[in-house]
Amino acid sequence: MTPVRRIIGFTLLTALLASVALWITRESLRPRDSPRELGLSWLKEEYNLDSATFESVSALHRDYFKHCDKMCSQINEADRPLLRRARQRGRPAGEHDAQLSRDQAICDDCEKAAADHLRHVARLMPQEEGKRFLNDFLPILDQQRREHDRRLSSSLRR
Amino acid sequence: MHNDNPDLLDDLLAEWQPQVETPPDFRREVWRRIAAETINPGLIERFSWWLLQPKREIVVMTAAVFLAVVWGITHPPQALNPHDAYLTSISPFDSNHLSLGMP
Repeated sequence: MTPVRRIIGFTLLTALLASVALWITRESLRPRDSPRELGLSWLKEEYNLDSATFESVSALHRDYFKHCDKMCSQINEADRPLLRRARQRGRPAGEHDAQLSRDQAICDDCEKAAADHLRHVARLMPQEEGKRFLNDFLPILDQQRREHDRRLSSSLRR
Repeated sequence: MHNDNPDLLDDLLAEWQPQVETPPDFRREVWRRIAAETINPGLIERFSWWLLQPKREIVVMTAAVFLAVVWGITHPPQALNPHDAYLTSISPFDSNHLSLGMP
């Protein structure tokens, strides 16, 4: 083997070893908390919840997450707009509208469930913190819903 | 191939001793010509020969792995912003929300 070939092989092997070492290091440092756990810990700190309140808030979230998972699987089982468009090209417009209405109904349920949940959580918090909590999250929820509807209707129009 | 009739010339050649005086710098001149014909190794080849010694290879590999580990420690994966994590977990319209409930 020529020295140039050997040094290319050596460089590749060294790069491979370094990449594996880098990947293992970064993976071992990756936070293990799920977004739900991380979010709940943040909620406790941000809204100054005592242990008892935090327990009640956590229990409320656990119930909400269960309900939420069920609704999410409903959404996943429903036809997604892009897939629907591909499958149903040439179908009558009335069917599109019916599907859109069904999607909107699911989204309405999800939005109502989320808003109700936020209000329940706020009621468990000290009054001022509860107000601040609702002021922080209800407008974002509303804005995200509007963006979601805009995306949905534009993907159907295309 | 074996020849049963040896050539008479073979015996004569075997007996022949050349009576030629070699010049005093004959050997030196031969080596000078050999050296002149040898291609000068390039920078990469010289570096390769220098580097590709077992001990140096191990040192370079160890240094590369060490630097990778140090870089990994000083550049850990971006932690999720806790506010965004909470929003993702409660808002059904968050772009990452649907992936949370999936196995």
